[in-house]
Amino acid sequence: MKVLYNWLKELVDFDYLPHELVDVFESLGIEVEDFEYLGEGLERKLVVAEIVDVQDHPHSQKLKVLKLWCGGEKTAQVVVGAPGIRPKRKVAYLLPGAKLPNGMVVEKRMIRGVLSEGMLASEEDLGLDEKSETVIFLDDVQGAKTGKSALPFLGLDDYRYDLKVTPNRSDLLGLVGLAYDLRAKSGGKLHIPNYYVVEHGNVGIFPVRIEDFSACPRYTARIIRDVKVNPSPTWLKRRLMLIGQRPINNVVDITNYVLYFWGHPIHAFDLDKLVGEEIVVRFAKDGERILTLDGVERELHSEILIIADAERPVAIAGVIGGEETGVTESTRNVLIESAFFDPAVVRKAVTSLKVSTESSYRFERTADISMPPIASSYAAKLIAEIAEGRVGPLNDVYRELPSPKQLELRMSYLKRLLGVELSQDYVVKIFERLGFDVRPMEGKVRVLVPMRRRDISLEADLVEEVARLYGYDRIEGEIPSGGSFVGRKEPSKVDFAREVMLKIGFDEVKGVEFVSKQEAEAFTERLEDAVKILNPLSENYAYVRPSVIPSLLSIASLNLRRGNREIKIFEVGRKFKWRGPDVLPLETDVVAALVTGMSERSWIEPERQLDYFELKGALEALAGAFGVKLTVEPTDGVKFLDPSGIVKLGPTTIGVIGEVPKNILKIYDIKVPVFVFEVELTELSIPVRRYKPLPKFPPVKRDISVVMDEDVPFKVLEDAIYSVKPALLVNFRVIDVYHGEPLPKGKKSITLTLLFQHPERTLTDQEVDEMFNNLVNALISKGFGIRGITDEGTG
Amino acid sequence: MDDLRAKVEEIRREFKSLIEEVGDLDALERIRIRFIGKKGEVTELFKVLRTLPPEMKREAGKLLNQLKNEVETSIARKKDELERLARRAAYDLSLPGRRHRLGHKHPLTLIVEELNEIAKGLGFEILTESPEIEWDYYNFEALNIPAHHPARDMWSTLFITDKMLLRTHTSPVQIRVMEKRTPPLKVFFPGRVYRLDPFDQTHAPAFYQAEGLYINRNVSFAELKGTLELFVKELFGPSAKLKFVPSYFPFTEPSAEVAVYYNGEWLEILGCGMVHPKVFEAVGYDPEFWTGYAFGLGPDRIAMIKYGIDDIRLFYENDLRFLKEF
Repeated sequence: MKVLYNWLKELVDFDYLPHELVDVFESLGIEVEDFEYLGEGLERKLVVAEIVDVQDHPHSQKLKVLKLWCGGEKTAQVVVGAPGIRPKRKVAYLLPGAKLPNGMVVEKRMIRGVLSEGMLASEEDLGLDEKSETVIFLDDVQGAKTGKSALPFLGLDDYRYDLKVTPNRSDLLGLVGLAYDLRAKSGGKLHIPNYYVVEHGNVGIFPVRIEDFSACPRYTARIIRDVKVNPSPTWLKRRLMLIGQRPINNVVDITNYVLYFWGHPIHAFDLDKLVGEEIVVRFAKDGERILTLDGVERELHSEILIIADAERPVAIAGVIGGEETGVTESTRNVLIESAFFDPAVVRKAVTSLKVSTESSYRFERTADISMPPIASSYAAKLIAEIAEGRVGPLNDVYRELPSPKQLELRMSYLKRLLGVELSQDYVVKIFERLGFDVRPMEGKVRVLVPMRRRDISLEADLVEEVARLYGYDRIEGEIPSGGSFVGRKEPSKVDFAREVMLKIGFDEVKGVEFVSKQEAEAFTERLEDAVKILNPLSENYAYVRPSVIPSLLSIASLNLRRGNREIKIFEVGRKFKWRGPDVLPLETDVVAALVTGMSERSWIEPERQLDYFELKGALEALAGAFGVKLTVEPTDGVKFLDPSGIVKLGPTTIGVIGEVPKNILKIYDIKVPVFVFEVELTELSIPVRRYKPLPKFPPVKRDISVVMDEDVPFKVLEDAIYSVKPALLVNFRVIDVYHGEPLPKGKKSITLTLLFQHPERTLTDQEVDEMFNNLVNALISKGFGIRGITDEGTG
Repeated sequence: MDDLRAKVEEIRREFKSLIEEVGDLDALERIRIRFIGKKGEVTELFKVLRTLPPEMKREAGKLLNQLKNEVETSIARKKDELERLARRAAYDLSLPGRRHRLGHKHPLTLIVEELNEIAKGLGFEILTESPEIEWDYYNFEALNIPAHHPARDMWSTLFITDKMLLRTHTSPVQIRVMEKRTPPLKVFFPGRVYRLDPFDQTHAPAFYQAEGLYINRNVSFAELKGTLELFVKELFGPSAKLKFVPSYFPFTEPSAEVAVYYNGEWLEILGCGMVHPKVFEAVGYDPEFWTGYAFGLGPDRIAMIKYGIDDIRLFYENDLRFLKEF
């Protein structure tokens, strides 16, 4: 909503300077998005000048060379091509250096060999009209003395505010409503114009039939005959241009002006193009069509309210008129519509037809049902003045009209909610200034809410009015009493997992939770498991991520492209699984990590490919921190990893780990090996810390080399050891994995260091030998070879 | 005896001059052999000792032992010194060490943690569990934003079905908490929220929000102001100035927007207000009995202000060079 300072001053008295008004708007809760001086770039560069001499241009038949008198001793020569140039005429002269609203800078230059010191301004140059036939003449303008700045005479010595009105305050979408709010602050006088219009009974009234009074509670129609449709007068065109409205013709411009002025949308039909003798307000039939004023042919359906004549839709109610019945230069008689439409009905049309207008914007936010006759009268009055025409009586159709709401504000409630003690007199004064009917009573005030304030329906709303006008900044902040509240935060698994990953040197990343269809397909068993967005931003963001891995891959891809070579990243985040439309999707917090690239080379350490075991170690650190054993079971079952393993906590699968195969890396344009894991936090819990006495006696070490088939995973050996594990075997570590001579082909040898320890005494060699031998025998019986004992691999 | 004394002095002089100039361990070893080796000059002198008459033996012995000690000590000291020098040459302490990788916290995590800490200090209980995909009811209806209400335009929404959506703010958590608990309550909940806004310098389709809710008897707007003043000063330093201006949120009344004066400009950072009576009605609280306030802020924006970041996209690109700055 664009507003001009001087225009607002015509409606309400205040003595705020233009820049002070910005703060006043803000204190009223009206955000000022933009504030500008209209003469910006034209100060002292646009002056009233008088033509003293006109000569033909030596090299052009169209151009003239003028001598201008600019007041005092100053003269200038300009080359001009516009018509109407005569000596003695006053013009608006743009000096070199002037900056036009379109960004162009006026310069002193040669035009076909003749010096032109600037130019004569046209309305178009100054953004005051869409197109200009000639330059601006200021002959008849009162006070436009030669040599003076021309800005005030063109309405450009003014300030424009672009206001952002919150959706509840539809009353502020018109100049009059803004004036009321400003008056409440300034206490000055309001100057609301008279909207009385002389009606001629013989013009006749136009019948209106409303089929659904809940969709259209009020509709007024008024005929105006013998209208002269012409371009609008300069003042009207200029004002519309300055608030960002394109002038069309006087009748249409007046409807726009009324909308802007009173905040109430109206529409003008060409009466002679309406078929039949009745306006019908009804819902459209499925498949009915209308060509609207924006040149689009639209198909309607039964939820869209329309205005129809005997044959067809002529407007989409509250949104946009039809092209065929619009007012044009050939229009003689018009029908003015000024109505009230249900906000939800208008909003449905806006959303389903994807069209939004100044009109629909206001109806959607609830218009003022008391306004239709006023807006209609004011429009008729302006049309009669500007476009002549005989104004007919109003046909005002409604079933019942609401009366103003009566509300009470208890002084105790006011104090309780605001925490400030205000006197009843003060509160009464605030409501008076707001234009409410107010009556002080015992401990409370009773108000009658003006119809224009549709946003006020509760006592709390009245509290806000008082707070707003008293000034939020004047309410002293109170130190919170605190009392029995103790701030606390439950330890969270997400935080715990994050800290572990950070400690082992992984960088935390934060991905966006959206993926493409291709990704959703790749990272789910079935695409139906992914949560699909109904109205996605783009194809890349069509689904909510079913896994955090795609986010990590996108991030790795960006980093590789940017030349970051050593990538060890993780995210603790959420993945989503669709469970049908009747329950919310399953949201699972996970920790996911990715490793790729090369470690940096230094004088002491060689460059090293970051491999699977870099990542596996992280998983083990995580398991250790959570105080659990996580096992990795190689599997073929994970379609986005190869080789792939599932991560198990006891018998429960809680994650996946492995290498990302080429077909998936291709989606991310990655050409180097990438390793990832994702572990769900659901089954894990933050360990309870408890001291366990340290062992008092030293452990005894024994090494063993187990020979097994190359394609059998270590996990099988590990399980075998666990299944026969002697009680005093407290730990074992893999210290070597060997392939090749003297082992037979297809075999590998895994060397373990075994640690035996007794909690209460030192073990004897004999005891250890016995346990070691038992283990060896058990492994042999399970089919493993033991180097140095069985034949296999002993060479 | 005098001969001996002269001889000792001569050896001592010779030794001193040699030991001073010796530069490596090999040369030192040669010196050791020359003086105190099996046939060394000092060792040889001891053989002379045997030939001396007993009355001189004592004094001569003392003289020779002293010399021997001196030589041994000097050699040992020199050896230490030379070894140290050799080690020093091999171990250049100024060379870079083995690298230890530090894991870096994401800047948004840092800010969320900071906000949690401040809220905790102000007596709020931090809640971390809440669904990010929500029912329309929790995201809008219960918050006094009915269907077809133009206020819905304040949140450009990503829908899953006509009833299910990606939450556009953390406010649905207000409803979920109030449904589960009875007042008084004082809670703070950070979380991810989603909008139908493409990435640009200041917008992201997914970002963080954090929200506080306090409900008790007689909670007032003045107390909300006091709390937020403490909150913001904690966040931006004691000199931060605040400005409250009227605003509109369907779920608070009165509502306010809060701007902080930081680095020479006013920056909007917070929305807040007194919980709307209709919201209380939706969760079955008696608005005559309870009052409360709610406030919400954007960690992404706060991080941008505090760290001087001019593009929100940096948070979600996750360029490691960027992350390592934090």
